[in-house]
Amino acid sequence: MRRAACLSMLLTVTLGACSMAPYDPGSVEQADFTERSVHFSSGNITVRAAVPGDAEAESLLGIDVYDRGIQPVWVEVRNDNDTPARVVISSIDPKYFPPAEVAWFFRKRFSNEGWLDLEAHLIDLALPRRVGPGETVSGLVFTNLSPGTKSFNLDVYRGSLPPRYEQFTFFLRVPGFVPDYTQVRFEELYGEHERVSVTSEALPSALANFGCCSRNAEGTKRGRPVNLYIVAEPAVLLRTLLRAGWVESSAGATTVDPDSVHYLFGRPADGAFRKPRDGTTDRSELGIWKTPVLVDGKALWAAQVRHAIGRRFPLGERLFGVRLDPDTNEGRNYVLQTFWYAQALEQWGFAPTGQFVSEADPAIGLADDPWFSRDDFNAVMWLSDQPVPMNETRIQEWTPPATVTGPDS
Amino acid sequence: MDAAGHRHRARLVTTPRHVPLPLAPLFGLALLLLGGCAGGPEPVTTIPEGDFRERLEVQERDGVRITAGVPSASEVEALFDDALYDRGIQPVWIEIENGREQMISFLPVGLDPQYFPPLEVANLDAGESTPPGELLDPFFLEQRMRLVVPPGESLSGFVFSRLDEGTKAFNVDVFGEGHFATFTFFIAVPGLHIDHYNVDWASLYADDEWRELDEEELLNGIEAFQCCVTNKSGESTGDPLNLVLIARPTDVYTAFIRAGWDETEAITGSSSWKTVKSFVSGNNYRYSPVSSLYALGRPQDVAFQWTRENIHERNHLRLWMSPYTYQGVPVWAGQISRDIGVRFTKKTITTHKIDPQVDETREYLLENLAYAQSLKAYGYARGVGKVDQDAPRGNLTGDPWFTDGLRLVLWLSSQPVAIADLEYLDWRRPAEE
Repeated sequence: MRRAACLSMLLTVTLGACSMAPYDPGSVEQADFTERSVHFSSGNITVRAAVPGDAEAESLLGIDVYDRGIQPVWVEVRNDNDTPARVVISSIDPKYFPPAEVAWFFRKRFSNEGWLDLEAHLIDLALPRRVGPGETVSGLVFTNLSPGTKSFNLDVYRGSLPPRYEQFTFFLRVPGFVPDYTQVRFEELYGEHERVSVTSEALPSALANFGCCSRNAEGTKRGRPVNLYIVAEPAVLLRTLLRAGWVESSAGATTVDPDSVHYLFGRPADGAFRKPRDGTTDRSELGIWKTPVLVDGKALWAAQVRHAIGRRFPLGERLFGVRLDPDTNEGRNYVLQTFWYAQALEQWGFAPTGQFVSEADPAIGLADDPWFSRDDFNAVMWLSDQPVPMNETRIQEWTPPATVTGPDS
Repeated sequence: MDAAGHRHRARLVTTPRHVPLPLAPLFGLALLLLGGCAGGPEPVTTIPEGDFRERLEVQERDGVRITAGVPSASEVEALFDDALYDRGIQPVWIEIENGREQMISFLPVGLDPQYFPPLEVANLDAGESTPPGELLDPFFLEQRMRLVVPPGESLSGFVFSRLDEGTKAFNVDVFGEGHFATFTFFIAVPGLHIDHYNVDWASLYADDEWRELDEEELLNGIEAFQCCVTNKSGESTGDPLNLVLIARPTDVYTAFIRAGWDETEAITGSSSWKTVKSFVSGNNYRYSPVSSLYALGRPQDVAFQWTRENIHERNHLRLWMSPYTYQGVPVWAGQISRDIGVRFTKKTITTHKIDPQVDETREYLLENLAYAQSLKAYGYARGVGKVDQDAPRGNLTGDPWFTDGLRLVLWLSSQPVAIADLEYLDWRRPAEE
């Protein structure tokens, strides 16, 4: 036991040798990122939030939290009611880091006293939960890092009688990452003569003109099915994707081989999104193209989802390549459900295309990936700008071919 | 391997159209056993293993009947010829019988938002050089649960979910024209020695020891609980008892599992080895046993944990059932803390470092249970008394802690309660209010 204790002390001394630094942080008052803050009000509660970028967070906190996968979010809450309110911190991120834990991660950079100063400072900077009547509180919440636009809910609860519950949804731009879609000039994609307006009822025949699948850059080779269509204003589409857990990406981020880039309308996807699983490997990629079609005055978007299967390499699948799920109905149904569970679907329907690819005789995609489509339906989704309870989503019925009872039945 | 390159499975998983009903409610029995209250529920000690179809559970509502079962690690290996549990994958078998006049759809995202498509499970080892033909595994395609159930028909199959050992909690969501229904299942899976299986609930208190309290007595009673947990001899005090639950045992169990907490294994040779492995590798052993802390004269009755990245970062919660009831529902004393890392000590070499701001973890629990729609009401009672950040107290392993001194009182609900309907019991207020 004594030997072990000596060993542990030796280890402690060795680890401690290079970390004698005191802690010397910046201050929120001097930080510029609060100038980017966005605010909302409801039920006499005003909330304001901003996200410091990598460098801003380091200059504020004196520690590189982004490097540890931690992203601080600055929040201010004003309560103009005569009853106390409560900020629900886990609404921002159910797996947020409490301040003492963040300090513990960085303790080795400092002397013991420096670490305790860091801990006290982070506890002091953290957003308080309680906001008394007429009070304003502000502070940081340490969330898990997500690249690109930071999206989160902020819930404020008032335990008055009857209880009141206010919900605010933020989508905040963070410096340092440029998603593909911000580089596309959507207004210039199509000339006046290329644009088409259709009604919901006529949509299936309009979709038939698009062809089934993506192609390679030269248009000489068929890729995979484009079997998702979305009717939505651009801002609503982006909000839905983020709320449904899709994170911004760029088309070049996961495809090494330029010959495997999927083209539609003669161009790569206008926007690319990923769906990480358990924070490690990304298994699904969604490419989105704006079509020249307006449905009842709203933009129609085409989307293709590719789900990776096969060996997982946490260090980066792009180095080793992956195989894609041959079942293209599966991915389509999955995307539809992610939107539905995000309470974003005003209406959806399955538009028949008349084209089957059976698993017995699969098609081959751009990267020699086999695929099949057991049913011949495109999923069409109308997004709502207000949350729609799942049981209030309507179904658009088009006449299906007589031989088919439903999608993937 | 056959000519097409497919492995031969030990046997094909057939999908029975007629479920052996007399066997189906076995797990329901397990819940009922935990569900009694004042007289003390019976322990669950054994779960039959060998064929998961002997542990099926059935629920029926509005013309839709759902049967579900979860094969254990060894059953899965026999069925799929692959140790899928070791890869973090747990097949859940469901059958949906549609007695309605319209088609209904099953939504696997409701069961697990990150479920594995069947061809992903079939091709876990596929790489860039795997021939395309091998990716199309007819066995796994055959086993999958289909999404559309025509009227009057029944469909069954597997959904490949992320692994939860101990008790598997999941929803089966079905949708049809003007109809949406969620069926919530809690199915005990053999393979772990869960700690609360060992509690002899019936002999915790004699019949004449139970006391029903009114609201004032309740507040006095819970404020009179001892301040803190102790060691076995009761000579040293540790972390504050900062929680009180008003809950039936079944609701404790379902509420915490629904909110993402894991049960803990009893300390056995096997569980200790798993803990050591996890400690060394930093991997996640979600059901790691927790050490015994003492209150009400005994070690905790039940412990739950909520894990993040690895064993070093988890929330621990211990509960003791008291002899009090309020409105017929048992009152529990509890303690919650969060491990934030590992530190060296002279006495035990290493121990978990807890977050000194213990109120932070307590408040997190309130939010966590409220979002899981498991809470009916909450409030605060006096507990250990205020302990300042600059003059912290220490727990049994010497970690500092500070607190506003209050106990969070959580009244659990058997039925889901929307967060907007959560009641606030205005008993004692935290200092800032």
